[in-house]
Amino acid sequence: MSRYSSSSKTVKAFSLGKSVVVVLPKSTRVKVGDEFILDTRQNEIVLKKKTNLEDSLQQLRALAGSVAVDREYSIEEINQIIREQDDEEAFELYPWLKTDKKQKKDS
Amino acid sequence: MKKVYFDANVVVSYLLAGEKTQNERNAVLKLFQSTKRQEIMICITPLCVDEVLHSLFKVLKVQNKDLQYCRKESIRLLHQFLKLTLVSFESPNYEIEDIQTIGKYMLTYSLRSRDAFHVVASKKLHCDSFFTFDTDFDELFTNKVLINARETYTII
Repeated sequence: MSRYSSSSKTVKAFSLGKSVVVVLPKSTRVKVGDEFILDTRQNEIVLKKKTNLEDSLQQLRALAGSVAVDREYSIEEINQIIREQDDEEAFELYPWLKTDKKQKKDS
Repeated sequence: MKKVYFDANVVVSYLLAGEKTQNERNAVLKLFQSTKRQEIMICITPLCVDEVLHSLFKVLKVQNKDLQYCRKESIRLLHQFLKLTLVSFESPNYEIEDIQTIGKYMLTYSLRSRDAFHVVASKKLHCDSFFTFDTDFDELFTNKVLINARETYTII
């Protein structure tokens, strides 16, 4: 007897006996001949439809540069933008932090 | 199957894809190409999604004052990435004990809290390696706390 819970892509199975029941997520469309990758770690079983590497690469290449921007960003600038999120949220909630920071800089 | 944790800067630099991030884009393609003999899964977490959406929105609003358009466009672009067949969106189940671990990483490696969350997420999701272009993680690679995907797949 097995219990399971499933999300869109991960299936979890907890076997109480020798057999394990694996249930595919509802969104998975299966046809004869489809191959799946099975990954088991501890009590977790992950199933993923096996895909052609060339198809995946083609999909990925199509995505490159899909954001329409008027100037280029370096990786350092991108990291800075990501890091700024913390500061911006903090300044919005606690505006005096910004003033403190400025005063510190000035002094 | 190998699981590779993707930091937000990898996704953002790929989607922006200018000359300045040519090397980063090639690194992502090389990761895909180097997996011909082994299956991989690219792991994207809610924290990564949050950072990607923030960054795309910020970049888009520089040239477009229609903020609603920028929000929609950021979500559309991220969704395109998440639809890639090798990409898996996974959410770790954080527990109260994880806060201690996050604190430990912040103190030991002088990490920002978000970066420490990334480290814990990659461990809880049993990722084999960590893919980032952020040098703040270098010490964790040196100390073998994380496995550098760029070394594993020889894409430095």
